[in-house]
Amino acid sequence: MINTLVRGTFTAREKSFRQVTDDIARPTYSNAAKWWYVAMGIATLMLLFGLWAIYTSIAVGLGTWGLNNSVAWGWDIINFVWWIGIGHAGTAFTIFLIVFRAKWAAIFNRTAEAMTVLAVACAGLFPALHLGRIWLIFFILPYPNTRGPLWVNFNSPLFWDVLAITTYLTLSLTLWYFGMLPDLATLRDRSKSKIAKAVYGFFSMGWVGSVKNWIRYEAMIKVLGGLAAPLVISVHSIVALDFAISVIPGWHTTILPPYFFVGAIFSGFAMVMTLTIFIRKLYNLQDYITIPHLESIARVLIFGSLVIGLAYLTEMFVAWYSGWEFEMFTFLKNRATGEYRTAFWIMVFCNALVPQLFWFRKIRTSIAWMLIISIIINIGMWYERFIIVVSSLSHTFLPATWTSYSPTIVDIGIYVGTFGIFFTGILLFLKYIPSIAINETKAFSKKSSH
Amino acid sequence: MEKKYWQSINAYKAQPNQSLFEKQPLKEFTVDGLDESEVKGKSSRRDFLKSLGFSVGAVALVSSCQMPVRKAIPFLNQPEEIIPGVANYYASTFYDGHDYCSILVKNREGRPIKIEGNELSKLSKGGTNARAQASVLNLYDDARLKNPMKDGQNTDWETVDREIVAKLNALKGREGSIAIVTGTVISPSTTSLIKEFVAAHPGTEWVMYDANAYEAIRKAHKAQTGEGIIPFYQFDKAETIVSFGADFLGTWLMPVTFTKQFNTNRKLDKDKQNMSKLFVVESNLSLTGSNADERYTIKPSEEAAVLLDLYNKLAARSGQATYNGPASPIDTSEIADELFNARGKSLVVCGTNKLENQLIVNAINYILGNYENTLNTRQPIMLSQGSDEAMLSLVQKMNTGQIGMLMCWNVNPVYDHPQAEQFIEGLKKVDAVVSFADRMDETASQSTYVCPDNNYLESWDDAEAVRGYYSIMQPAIRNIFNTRQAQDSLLKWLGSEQEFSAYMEQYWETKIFPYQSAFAGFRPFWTQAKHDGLFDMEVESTNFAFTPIELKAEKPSDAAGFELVVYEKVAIGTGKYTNNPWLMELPDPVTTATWDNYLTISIADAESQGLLQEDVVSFGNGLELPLLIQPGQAKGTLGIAMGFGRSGAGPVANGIGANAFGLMQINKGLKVANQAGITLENTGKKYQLALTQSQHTMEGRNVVKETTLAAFLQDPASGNEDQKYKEKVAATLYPEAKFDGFHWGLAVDLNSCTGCGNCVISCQAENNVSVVGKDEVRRHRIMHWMRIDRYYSEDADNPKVYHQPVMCQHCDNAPCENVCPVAATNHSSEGLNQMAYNRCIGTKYCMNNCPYRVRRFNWFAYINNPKFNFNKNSDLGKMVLNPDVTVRERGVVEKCSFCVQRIQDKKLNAKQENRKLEDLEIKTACMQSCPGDALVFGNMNDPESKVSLLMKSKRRYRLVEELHTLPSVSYLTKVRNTSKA
Amino acid sequence: MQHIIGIFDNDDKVVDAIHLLKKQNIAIADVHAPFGSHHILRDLGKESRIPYGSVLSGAFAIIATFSFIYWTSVINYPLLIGGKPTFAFPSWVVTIYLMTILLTFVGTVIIFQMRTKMMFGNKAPIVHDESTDDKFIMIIEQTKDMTDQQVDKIKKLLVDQGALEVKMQDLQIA
Repeated sequence: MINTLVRGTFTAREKSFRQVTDDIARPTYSNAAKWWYVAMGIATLMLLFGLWAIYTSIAVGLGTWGLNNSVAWGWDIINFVWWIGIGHAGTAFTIFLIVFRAKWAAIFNRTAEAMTVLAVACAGLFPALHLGRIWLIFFILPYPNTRGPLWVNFNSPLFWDVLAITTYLTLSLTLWYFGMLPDLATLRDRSKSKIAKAVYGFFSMGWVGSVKNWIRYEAMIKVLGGLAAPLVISVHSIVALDFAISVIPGWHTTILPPYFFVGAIFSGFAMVMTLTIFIRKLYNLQDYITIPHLESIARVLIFGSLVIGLAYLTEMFVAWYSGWEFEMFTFLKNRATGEYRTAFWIMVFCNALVPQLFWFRKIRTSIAWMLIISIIINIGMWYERFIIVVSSLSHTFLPATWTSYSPTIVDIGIYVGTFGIFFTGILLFLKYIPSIAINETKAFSKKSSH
Repeated sequence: MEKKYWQSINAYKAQPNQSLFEKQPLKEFTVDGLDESEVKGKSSRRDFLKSLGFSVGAVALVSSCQMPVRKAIPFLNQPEEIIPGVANYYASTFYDGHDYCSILVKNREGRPIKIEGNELSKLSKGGTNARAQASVLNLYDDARLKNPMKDGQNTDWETVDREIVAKLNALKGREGSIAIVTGTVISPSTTSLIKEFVAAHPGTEWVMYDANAYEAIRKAHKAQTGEGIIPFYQFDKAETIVSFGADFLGTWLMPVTFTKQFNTNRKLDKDKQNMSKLFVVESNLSLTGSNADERYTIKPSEEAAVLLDLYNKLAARSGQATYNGPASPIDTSEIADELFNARGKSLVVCGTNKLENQLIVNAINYILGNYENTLNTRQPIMLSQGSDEAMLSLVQKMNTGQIGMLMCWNVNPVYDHPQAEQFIEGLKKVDAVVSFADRMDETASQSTYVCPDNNYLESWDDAEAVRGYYSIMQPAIRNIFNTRQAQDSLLKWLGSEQEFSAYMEQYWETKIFPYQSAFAGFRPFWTQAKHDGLFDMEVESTNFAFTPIELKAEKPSDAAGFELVVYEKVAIGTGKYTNNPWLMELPDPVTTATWDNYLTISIADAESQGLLQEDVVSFGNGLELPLLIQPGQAKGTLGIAMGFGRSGAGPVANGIGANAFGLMQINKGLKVANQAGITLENTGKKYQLALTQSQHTMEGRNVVKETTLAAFLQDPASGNEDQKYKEKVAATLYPEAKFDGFHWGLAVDLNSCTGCGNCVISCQAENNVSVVGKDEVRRHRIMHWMRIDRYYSEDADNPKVYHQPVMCQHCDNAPCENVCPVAATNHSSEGLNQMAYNRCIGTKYCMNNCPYRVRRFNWFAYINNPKFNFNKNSDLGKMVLNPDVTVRERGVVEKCSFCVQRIQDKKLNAKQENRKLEDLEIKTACMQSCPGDALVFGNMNDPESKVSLLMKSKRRYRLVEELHTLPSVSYLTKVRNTSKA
Repeated sequence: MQHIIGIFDNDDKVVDAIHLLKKQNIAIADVHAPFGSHHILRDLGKESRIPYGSVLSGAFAIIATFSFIYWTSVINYPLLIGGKPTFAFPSWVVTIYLMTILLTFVGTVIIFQMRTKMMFGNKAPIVHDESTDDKFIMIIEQTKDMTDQQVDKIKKLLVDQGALEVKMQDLQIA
């Protein structure tokens, strides 16, 4: 067992169990604040914009996107990879908690997992929407059919990808849901409204909290956590295989799978940081989500940033060392000094340089700095995906086929729309589900349970 | 056995081998196909289940798929020569007054769907050009007139005939009051008919008029030899060719014939180790210029000085008279040396319509002894007989009110005459203007009567493009609209009851039949001629005598500003094809621009004027066009294409670009396509051109491999040295795939490809490739299955140019196949990379992973979509679709299939005839039509096949070999005959 | 059946009570707790066999996935794809790996639900309605051979250990 210290003071320890329940579950049985309605309104508008964009892409065609014959993947795949990256944090926290027993992770677990489920759902939207014939999406399943029967291509990274995302979504949704089970029971018993009682009752599956419940529950969660551990590493690696398996310079590199994994953890943690900074403020959970908790994330971000920076350097070096003209062109010319240099240097600045500020304790413990830097990281990670997808596709082997790429309003609409989905989801989550695992908090707040 | 093409039932019956009947598939409802119970009329339990299944299935089908209701009318009496599913080929001729080509028309279920070159023709030898390929779409043009018109209103033929005959009778007393303006007529029978008409109406003036004229060649020969001819140039016999602005590979006179000829002398293999050398001296970078071994840039006004300088150098060596002239701006000594060394085997051609230039060219050819060697004067070219002087005098007559009736046939002077305003003024003074235009073009809309002519695929005619070489034009379909062949109209107005087909037959019987000896009776001769579509006649020799006359060269223009060159585009020519979406979307071989008219300017001039690509400039008489900065454009010159700025061609063409005909000048009675003293004014506007290529150099990559002739002779693998290494280091985890039957492959000889773009259109017609329009091309979404990449290298002011056709490479280790999640693209057992459109869900991953970028995505529905109002949107336009090839749905990826439908067709034929498939029997659409014979398709498993032999060549390489994708398409190094490395 | 119910507000006190009762060989029927206190679970000495089920699911997943891919790609409809042999095992690894995780995961959840008989909408047999919030409920079955004296003794023990309330209740516990 790895002994991870809870850094600093964990104020919740002084609170009674009842106090903990009340503090965390308060939003679920009180009326929502004004800001919640405003935020929900904005999120709904974004969602509507997204719905229009989705309708357009399906009804009119993918021609409404900015893609072309050479760049056949653009914002769709950039945003897909970006969202998948965001979706990594939740499961990572779960693993920290279950496998490594890192107690500080318990605080973030629930929110991070909610984020994961929503982000993976947003991500999963893109590979579906980027199909020319989305109505035939079921072709991707190996089901018995009358065409031979014709099966799918098990060699295709895209098939692996679909499987990986499906598995990941199933897994994170189940983990999130079963992690909530005892808390749903708590809410069922604590709520006063009949509807709430009925709904929470329905979803709590008859949970009593008996020893048998707990023993089987803990056993199952451990197994699930254990399964999630390799998956959290493999999901983004398999997404990386979409690129690494291809022959396109800039994609065809063995470094991509580990690099994608670290990048995903990096962007996921940054997003958790951004969100929890808001949540602790808006729901007065400063006693639970403390500065030392956030500082822990900041330390992970420094680590991520160093690995990412190293990956950038390694890519450049290997390209130069390979001596292969196409590879050298892609990395040294096209990306670093050519048409995509602005995006490239934004990426390096945001991902490799800015997070180094966290070496300073003052910055690491300042809420404002943390908020700014975590947002910068997420912008940087978006640019990273842009660089990978677009710069490679637009300038491949035959110069006559070189093109440039720019998104259309529909591309932007779908991206904004996924933010709509994400924020509506997060807001509903904050309103109806305790954002911190109540039972875990209680468990960790007792000396006896150590 | 020689291939036989038959045309009509008569022709068919004359054939001994009626094997086609054997191919007839089982009738749909025969007793053979039924169960016993069904024959007896009883129904079994199985039948009940069958019918139940059918009705359920039918309901499901009807309710789930929106099947468009089509008006399919079955043949009540099926014509015996039409077998559903089997194509018929009719030999015919493509001639439109400007371009000539002997063709076969592929018919399916009674409609022409594809033009193929007629391989029996000694002129075009199976080649076509893009315009001939695309002409089948003109047949299905919605903009065609559907009825005769009077004063812009629909009317019927009786009215038109009655009124015109009355007018003709009324004019009988006024001699010289009738004029017929036609394009160049190369048809002997039509010429005879027009002459009959002229004789019946004495004093009638018949003027031939060409939009783009080469009359100076005729005038010069008239002056020097007494015969106003255009000699038949023999590029195949020339070892040194010098072209002064004559784009003979692209647009000049007979590009298909000339490309065929030119390329016979450019092929290199074990037996043939020498090739001709091409010098090009020009202002615009033309297709021919892009294929030059040595290219010089001059201003148009400097051409005479250069020519005279060249003449003087040669004359001095051969002891002929020299003449004083202005100094040449370029050093012509290398050209002179090469020409002199190749005396009698050299050829100088010039595309400028100026008498003095052509006189010098003739004199050069004369002192080199090229006449009767590389210039055939006995069998001259009959094209381009138009007379600008006659036309000008007609315009004057019209303006003085002398003309009572004007007939315009196959001409559109309102649009393309340099002095169109005077012509229009004149038209107003003519009592009755009769136009035979097939659409309401600029001239037709100013005419009293429009008697729409048939499309050439609905017509009878003959053609003699070169003296002694006859080609027959015969209908491949009945009139689609209520149109009438112009010849029939003339016959009618002559009071004859004869149809033109009968008239033509009669003409052949009396005028041509006697000149042959192979057939005893006219019937079999006529049948054979129609079957082949051709007849070659011996021509008596003439007394050719060349009399040198004094040569002059005017001083180069010193007017300030640019010199402008009006040129003809490979695709749209003089504007007849501007309404053809295939041709509009064909990338220009040199600029790669589609859909637009633009002004080409040299890099240096653009810099000095502070102008950028796509800046809209105004020039001339208020014309506004975007700029295209063209490497290789002569400094101080501008280029503009003719054929744009139409207002009466149809919805595709109207309003695109500016009309450049007004920029042509009349110089000493000749139409010259240049103008000096042009100044540009930046309007500050920008216009995005629809270019298919944005990167113009190879970035130092080995994409097109090139060597010089000298290096090639030393080492055939020169330029291709890295091939050995690449093959050696290629490694794979898996064993290479084996194909035990056929293994199809295609070899592309880069030395033979001129980049003319004909194959692109041929492929488009064969494979139902969609037209996507200007906006989509701008977004780099052109659908062409094969493209011709064009690269520049070295000196940007006068670059070397490379053309490289790229189609699906059919890799045996195809990267695209691996990544498709649904296995929609996979490999056939014959080595074809195949696409199952039905299975494709459109992930586009294959497109991303294709190193050659040959896959195309259907971004929108290109069929039945009003936003893409081209040929796939109307019932008429859809007639051109090839029923053997699926029309792709929105959201699927498509690409070159190596014309798998053609492979299957020939394989089945061979199987049915119980024989082995012969080499070169299967021809892909691109290969069939290639005038340069650059593409060879065949079975790589057969060591004797032509493609296998080419694959063994030391010049052979594959694109991006190091990826080890094992493409089935190989390229052969380009060899330039130049001393400069 | 009658049960002795002890209601605690502190898990430490529950743990102590468990120790004492165990010493006296008194069987504890169940403990309801608002969170999974490891000490309570450990001290009750119960273990779950769910992990064995997971292993079985995993083994099944590996075999089933490999066989399925082999059957579809090699036997049923072999296709030439990208110049690879139809038995292209390296590229199947990812699929087999993912299917193993997915099927093991789903299997584990199903086994859990079967063992605990938990399903959406089930009614919870709650003994005390604060047991999911801040109360710990200890339930001891009054067996037939248990005398009233013994019952009183247990009750006293619970009160001594700090139970807020001790009562008898008729419960149906499977």
